[in-house]
Amino acid sequence: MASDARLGNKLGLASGVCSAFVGVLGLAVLVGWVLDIDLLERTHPPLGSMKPLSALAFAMSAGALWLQREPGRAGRTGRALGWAVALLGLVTVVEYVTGHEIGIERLLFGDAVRLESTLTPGRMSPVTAVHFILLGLAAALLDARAGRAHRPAEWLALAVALASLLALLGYLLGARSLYAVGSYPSIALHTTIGFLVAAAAVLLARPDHGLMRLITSATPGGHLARRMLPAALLVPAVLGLLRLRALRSGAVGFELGLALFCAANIVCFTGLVLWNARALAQLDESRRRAEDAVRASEESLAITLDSIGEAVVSTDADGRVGRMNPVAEALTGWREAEATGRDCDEVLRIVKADTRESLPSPVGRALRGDVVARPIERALLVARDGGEHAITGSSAPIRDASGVLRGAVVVLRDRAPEERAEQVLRESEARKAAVLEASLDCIVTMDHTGAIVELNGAAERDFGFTRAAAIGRQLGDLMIPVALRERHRLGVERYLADGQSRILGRRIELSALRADGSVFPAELTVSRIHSTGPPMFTGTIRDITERQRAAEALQASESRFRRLFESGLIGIVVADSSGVICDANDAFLRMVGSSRDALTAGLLDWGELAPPTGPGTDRPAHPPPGEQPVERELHCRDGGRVPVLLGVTQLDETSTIAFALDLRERRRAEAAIASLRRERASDAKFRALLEAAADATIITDRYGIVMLVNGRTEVMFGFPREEILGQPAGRLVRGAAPDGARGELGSTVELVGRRKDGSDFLIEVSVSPIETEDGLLVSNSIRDITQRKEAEAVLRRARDEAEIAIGELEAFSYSVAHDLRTPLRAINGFSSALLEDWGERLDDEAREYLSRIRGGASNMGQLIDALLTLSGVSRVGLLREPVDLTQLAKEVAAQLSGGEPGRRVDFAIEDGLEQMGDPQLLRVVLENLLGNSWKFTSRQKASHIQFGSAPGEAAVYYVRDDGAGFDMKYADKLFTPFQRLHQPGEFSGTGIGLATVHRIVRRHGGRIWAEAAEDRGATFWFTLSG
Amino acid sequence: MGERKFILLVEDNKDDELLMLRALQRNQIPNEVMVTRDGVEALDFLFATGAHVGRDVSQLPQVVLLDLKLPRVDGLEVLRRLRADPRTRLLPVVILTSSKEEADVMQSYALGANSYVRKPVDFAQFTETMRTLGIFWLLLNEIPPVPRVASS
Repeated sequence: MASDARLGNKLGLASGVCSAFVGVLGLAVLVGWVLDIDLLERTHPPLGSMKPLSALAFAMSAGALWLQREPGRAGRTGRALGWAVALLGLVTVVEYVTGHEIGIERLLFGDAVRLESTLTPGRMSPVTAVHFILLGLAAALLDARAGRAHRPAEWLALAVALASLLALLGYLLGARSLYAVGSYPSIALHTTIGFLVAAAAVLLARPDHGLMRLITSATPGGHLARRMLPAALLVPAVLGLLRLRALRSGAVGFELGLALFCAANIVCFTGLVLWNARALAQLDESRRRAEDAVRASEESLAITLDSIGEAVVSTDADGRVGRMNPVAEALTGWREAEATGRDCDEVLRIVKADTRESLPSPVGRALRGDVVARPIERALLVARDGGEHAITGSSAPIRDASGVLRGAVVVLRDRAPEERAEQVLRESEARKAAVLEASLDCIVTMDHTGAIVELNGAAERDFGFTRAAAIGRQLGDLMIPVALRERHRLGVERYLADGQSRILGRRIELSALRADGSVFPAELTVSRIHSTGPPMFTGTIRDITERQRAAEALQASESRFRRLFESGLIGIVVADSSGVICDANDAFLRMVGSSRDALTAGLLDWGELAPPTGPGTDRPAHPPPGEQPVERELHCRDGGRVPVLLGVTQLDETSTIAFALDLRERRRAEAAIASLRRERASDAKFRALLEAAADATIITDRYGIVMLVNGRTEVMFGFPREEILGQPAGRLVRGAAPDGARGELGSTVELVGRRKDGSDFLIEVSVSPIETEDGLLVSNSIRDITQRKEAEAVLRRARDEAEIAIGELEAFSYSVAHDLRTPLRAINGFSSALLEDWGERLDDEAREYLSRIRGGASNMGQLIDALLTLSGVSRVGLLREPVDLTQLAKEVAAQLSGGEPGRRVDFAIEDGLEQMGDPQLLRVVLENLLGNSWKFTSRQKASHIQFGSAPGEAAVYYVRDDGAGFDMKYADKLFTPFQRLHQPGEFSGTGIGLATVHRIVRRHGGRIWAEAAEDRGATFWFTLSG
Repeated sequence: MGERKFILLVEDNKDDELLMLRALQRNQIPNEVMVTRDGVEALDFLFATGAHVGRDVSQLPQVVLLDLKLPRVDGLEVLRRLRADPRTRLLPVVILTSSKEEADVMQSYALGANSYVRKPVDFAQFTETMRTLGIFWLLLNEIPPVPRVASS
């Protein structure tokens, strides 16, 4: 139950005023008694007098209450006075009850009290005495408690108030019994008032306790009580008084008065109740609004707390945990529900980071009213699980609007993320510092005033001063030559003024000053360090002395090379790895008769200009770099040759550079000298011979430069002699002619000659060396072979046509030969049929004729077969494979022997004869040759046939027999078709066999010939060229 | 024709035909000889088309003696068609010709000829040849059963 503090203060004041009133009343009456001032003793005779002892007791009561206004040391005296008052009352009551007079009054006040005309003069009335007992006790027990929330002082005071109120009402309404008991002295009116005021003083002295607390509280109850009490006290009293007056005046009867009294009471209290009800309703409404506002505020506070990044713990005034936000839960390991109500120091265990000793509780400090937001630093929070968190934080007391301490709040921040960030920052700084130090370039940092802030080791080294000496000094004074300082200063000023800079972010070259006063060329880049606060600048400075020196050297070297390149004395070519010429000077282009356009177009190719020399070699187009210069000929695009002295060197990884010294002039001079010398020395006969030669003859030196020509040459090529002499002979032929002077001495080549008028013609060139005293010369005999070539072409055409015709003819004869066989078969067949079926009816002559018809047809069949074989030999394709001739011969021999088993023929066949050739055709050869031998030995009883080979480079085979032989004078007819050396009657045969053999041997690239004599056998020799 | 072993002779030359029949006769080869004059006729006979519509296709000769040089469709083409048809794919075919050209021999065998025989000019040899052929193809050789193929 909250009490209204201001009201409490006011009531406290009112209590003081009441006490003072009572004190002043008592003292005034006492003074009146002492000085015998009647007015002060008794206000009005019928209203009774206040006895001196009562006055004293009043003064003592007032003192007791005054002294106890504030709880403190003076309270004891106050309480003692209270007890004394109660004792006075008690003694007086005892006097009345026992009738024994103790006489305190006289003891205290002497005779003054005797003037009183009462039975007990000067003695206070018994009612007053009881009042004083109660009042004294109330004052003595002002702060005492009896049981829970019961304050005896209050009840005592209320009893005093009620009794005195009755007495007062008695005075007001004229009811004596209410202020006097029997014959005892009555209580005086102002005594009654004194008691009322004193009771009020007691009640008001402790407005925040007991019943008064209810009345003074800010609750609706307190509100209601404060409104109703005055009305409840005053309204009945006033109405009762009015009613009595009205009754006494006789204007109003008793019943009417009572009715009016009741009505007035009803009206007053009804109005009062309604008024209060409205006030209560308003109060409730505003309270509900306030509650809503509070709830909303609490919710937003809760959300705020939950979303705050720091741990927040609040406590009540006793230091018990009230709220914790989630961060606090996470940090401490306590759930809010578990922690609520616990001692905050149990939840927040905070120790010193270094010593781990406990720190004073922040809550305790805040609750003791310690300085608000006093920081907690270098501390660790020990979580519930024992884990430690580095924290910073603060605590503060919570006070309400009236300044009453309600609790404390502690805010803690987990320093782990911060420490990590600090660690990262520290490492980053360390890295940067390392990079800075490791840099080969000087790095200098300058602030906006131009003072050096930082510089690295390279800067110390290159500028020649120590860091300590440099930092804080003006950069302009230290590092910039005097001539540039003003510009530097103005530049910095301009940048600071309008942000314009001609330097920032660019690479500039300038001079820099060393500590020893020397100046060096440097390259500088400046960048601004973006940070809060005034700008700072970092300059990177590189000493470029060496670079400049190198650049100058390079420039000098380049200009030397350029002079050489452009001198025109020597041809210079740069070619890439594929031989394409990338660059060449004018001298070279002149030399090879090419233009710069051709060069730019990429048409110049080193491989064409200097083709690989020597047959079958893949030598590089020019000598490998590093070798001695060599003499070579360059092939110009127009066919000319240029003798040069060629040196080659590697330019870089992909290109080579070649230097070519034109040797033409020298060659011409040499040729002229040689020519002169020769003309003097040479034999006139040689010249005559040359002129007489049927062929055009050109004598060149070994580079192909023409030295001598004859008249035929002039005629053939249409050039006057003077235009040829001293020129490359290659000019007289089209295309890339073989290098006669080098490669093909002694050979004959066919080329295309070119006349002066540009027309081409076929030539045959015989190249032969001439050793002279001047060295090797080359004689080229040139013959115009245009006509010969034409004749050859005609011949070739004729031959091709003939071959075609022969082919057709053979195909035709083949076909015819087949078709011829059919009628032969009919002739033979039907002749046979005649002989068989009608032979007996015919005479011998007719049978003889039929037999001849049959024989003729058979012969013709054989003839046709032989012809077919012969033609087949030239038509079929020739195989080339190993053929076992020995085996072949044995098979043929066996075949022959099998055909005529009765004959005695001794075959001697050499073993191991093997030959590359066509097995089918070679069988035909052996069949014919061995068959011939078999045939021509048929007249003998016994005969010998040999097959063998004569040793030699290529095998010479032979077939030898000891048969009929032949006359060698007909040997030339042996191999002609249809030629027979014997009568048909003597030996059978077609006359085609040897012709066939001859053709087969020829087709094998061999030869065949025969040795024989009549009746002495024959030997046929043949070779086969594998 | 009933279940008789007959010979199909494809020959355009009447002389040769006569001589061949004589040679068969002299060799006591009694089988009937069906003679066709060219390739078209031979094919018509074998596949029962054209002039031979209605003939029982399953009645195949014991052997076909086939000349190469024939009017209209030549012997090699006849052979090719016989070998392309399932009904005559396995029919024994002997090439009997004047040619001894290697190309002809190779082609004939490549197309599936069972034998290649050159007609000799000499009648004695011719008779001998025919005798050999007759003995082999008509007496010794077992021909494959006629494939069961629906006739068209």
